Amino acid sequence: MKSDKEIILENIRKSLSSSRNEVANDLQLDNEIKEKLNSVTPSTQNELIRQFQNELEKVDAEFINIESNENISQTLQRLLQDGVVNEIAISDDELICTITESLADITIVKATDYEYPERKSKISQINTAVVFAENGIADTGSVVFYYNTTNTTYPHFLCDWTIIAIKRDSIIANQFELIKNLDLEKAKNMVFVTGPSRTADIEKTLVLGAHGPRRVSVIAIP
Amino acid sequence: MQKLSPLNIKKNVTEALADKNLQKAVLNATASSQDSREHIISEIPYWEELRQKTNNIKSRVINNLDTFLETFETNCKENGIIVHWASDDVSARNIILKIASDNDVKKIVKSKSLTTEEIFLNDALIENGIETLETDLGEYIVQLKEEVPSHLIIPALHLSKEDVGELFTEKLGIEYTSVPEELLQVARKNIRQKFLEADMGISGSNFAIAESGSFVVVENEANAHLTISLPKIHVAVIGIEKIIPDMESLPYFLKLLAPSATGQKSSTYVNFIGGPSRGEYGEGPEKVHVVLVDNGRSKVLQNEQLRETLACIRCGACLNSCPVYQHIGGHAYGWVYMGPIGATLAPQFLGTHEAKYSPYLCTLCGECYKVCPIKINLPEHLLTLRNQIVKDGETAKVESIGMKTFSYVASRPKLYNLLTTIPVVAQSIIPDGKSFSVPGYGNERPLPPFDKLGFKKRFEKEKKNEK
Amino acid sequence: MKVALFIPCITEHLLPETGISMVRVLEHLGVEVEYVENQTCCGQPAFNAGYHDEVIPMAEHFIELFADKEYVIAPSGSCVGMVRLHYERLPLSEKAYSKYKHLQSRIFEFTEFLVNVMKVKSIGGSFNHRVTYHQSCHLANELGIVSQPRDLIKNIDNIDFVEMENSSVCCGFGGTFSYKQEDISLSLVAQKANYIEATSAEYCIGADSSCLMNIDGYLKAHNMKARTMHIADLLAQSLGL
Repeated sequence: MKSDKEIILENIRKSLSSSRNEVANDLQLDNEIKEKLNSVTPSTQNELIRQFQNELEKVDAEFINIESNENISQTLQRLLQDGVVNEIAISDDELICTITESLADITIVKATDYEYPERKSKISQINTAVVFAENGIADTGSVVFYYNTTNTTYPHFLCDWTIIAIKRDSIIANQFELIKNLDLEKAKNMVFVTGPSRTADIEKTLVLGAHGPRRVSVIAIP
Repeated sequence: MQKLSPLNIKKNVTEALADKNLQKAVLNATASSQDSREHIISEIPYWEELRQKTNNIKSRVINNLDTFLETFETNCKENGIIVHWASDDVSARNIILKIASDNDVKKIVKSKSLTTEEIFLNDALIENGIETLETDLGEYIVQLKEEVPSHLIIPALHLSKEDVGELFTEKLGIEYTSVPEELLQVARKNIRQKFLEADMGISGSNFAIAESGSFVVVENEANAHLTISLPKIHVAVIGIEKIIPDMESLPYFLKLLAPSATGQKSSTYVNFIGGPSRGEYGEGPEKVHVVLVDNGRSKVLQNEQLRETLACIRCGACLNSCPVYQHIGGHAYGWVYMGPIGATLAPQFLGTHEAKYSPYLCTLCGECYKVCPIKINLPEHLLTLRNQIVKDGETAKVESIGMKTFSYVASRPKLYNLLTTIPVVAQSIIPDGKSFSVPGYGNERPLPPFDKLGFKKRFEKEKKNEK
Repeated sequence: MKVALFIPCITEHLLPETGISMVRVLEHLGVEVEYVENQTCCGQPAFNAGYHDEVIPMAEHFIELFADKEYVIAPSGSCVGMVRLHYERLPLSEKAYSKYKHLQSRIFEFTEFLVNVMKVKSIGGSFNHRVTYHQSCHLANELGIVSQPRDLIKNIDNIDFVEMENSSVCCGFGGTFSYKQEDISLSLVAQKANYIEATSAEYCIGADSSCLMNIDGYLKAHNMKARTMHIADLLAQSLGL
């Protein structure tokens, strides 16, 4: 009795037996794409960051720029106070642990302190998350979370408000550049996030906060 | 759940055209999608090059699909992903039911996957006593209404907000509201609870990456992320044509997908799954299963030109641009896939008998080809499929005889000239200088009368007068 | 310059004035015009309905008639599209195919010929009416003819040219579609008629008689003000020909 795998592969080979079409190489095409892509890519890191900010704001996210490392916790404290937040969920990243350590009057819930399945319900009860994005993509205003550094994505997705810290220098021009330089292992488990969750499934009316965060704030640090 | 068949197209179309609310909803949604798409594309100067590039990439994969699938499987296994192969829908359902029973699954959450609709998965799960909930808002609405999606991207496109309001009041017992924000809140709360309780998450996948043994799920709502990261088991149902060679290929497709599907520069979430996360990260699935589904795709490969139709990334742009879809909506096509791509795949998946009307739901206007991000020459393929339907004897006998006669006469000028005088003569009997009422041309849209002279005689007269 | 006339069956039998207008305009521009005897039909209705084998004898007849002409001109984008694009995929005899390759680059739609070949964008006439323009699908999507008819219209003196909403959306004719899916076809032509009415134009100009016939029939039956007019007729009238 043939397995489904054998049947499928046999059918494919039989179907392709008449001829397997060849496609000419893409050298010229790739060059054309490269040239045109370059023509719309900012040439300095500052311009890239500005583009990142523009795109982020277009997808209804906030961008907060912090000039000096000293002000990070302060800014975060103020932001949380304005939002009347007294409890936050955080990811495992060293930077996040550091900047949240000194927050006053805020209960910090580190997702990885909880085992699964308890982690699910615990984080789901918390409204605000503070997490770290290891990369940003300028031309779409996206941030990138790699599982093997965050060790969780529950704060990023279960809480209503995601506050994302990102280093300005880690913002890359576009997905082509990102993937070109990405470690294959790291690339296997990651997620690109572009603004808050949304849907237009009812009469094409855009509504934010479908199943994921309703509010996204990105804090760009040196 | 209604059993769809494209053999019901004639009846479906009549119903659709009579539904003025449907017409309004579909026209508005497709127009707004088209506008957004055009706006984003105007900012991408290498759009046409992207289309050709992805057509090339898909062509290489499709023409070597066996090798790519084997590579994908090998690399998935190395990542700890369990790979299954399903030659048809029966096999696919059995595989998934077995995974569910092996793991004592009682509650399932699903993210949007038309492939799972194609294999009639939900009914099978529910019949086996497993609670199965669609979590994408549009799919959730359609599931509550016990209907099937009417668009590839916007499942409940055919419903107004009032329709949804009434539905929620009826099925969920809430006080009536038609405010989308409020309706979403109700759905979000209900579904969040289900996410936390579910034993298994079932998703589809947009791209299955052979080189890395990982796959991608693209979405806007975050429901897919929760589907794949909360329950202890994740099952991804993936059509064998979803393969792309490597990570480097992916950005070309992502750059085309969001503008074409939703008029966004990027979808909100691009999820990459490369193995069960529980072992490494302490949360999420302890097992990830991939079910590779054939269900007719390998047969599509037989025709060297039609093979290209497997390159579809299910963006829905062709639907939005199609004047026929705009006027009849998705249900009329009688199958899980609708619009120009649906009309193209139906005869190939279901056969020329069951889908004998499908490729004719089309004026051959060519808009679909213009907007297809992968540059699939849909009008060309629809013509090929019409020819197959004719050759298989599935067109009306009367028409077939008529066409053969037409062919005979129109290649014999003297006979043609003789026979074309008949309508002129016959017409002189009709009063008021009117014309014949023929099929398609009745009172709503009368034909002009046959000219008494015709061009040739008028031209000769013209020349004579000049002299 | 000498051109051979390719007269589509709808023009021959139903709307011959359009053909005559095209002849008059070409002759006005100093072009010698020849009518090729024994024309019948390019086979498009059968081809689009899926009857490809049945088209072969019609196509080979057509190719034989027109193969040695320097220019072949038709007042129809869809017919020219049929010959230029779709004859390519028919299993023609070797002899017919080689003759076809010679013909393929010499067959033109009327406005395409005026603007691209004769380099004429303005024919110097006058037409004191409001007009709008329906962009036929095959003309634009198969042959890429988008600006040529518009340029010719805009350059007529005293003309009031208004673009309609969605000028490029299909009018619903689609050949055999118009009777096989009559109800959808009517829904589409109704939409097109509404767009035309919204411009308050007296005439809807187009370059394909099949579309125009479809739209005109609907306009008339619903007592709408506008009427369709083929661009050949417009140019001829504007010149007083």
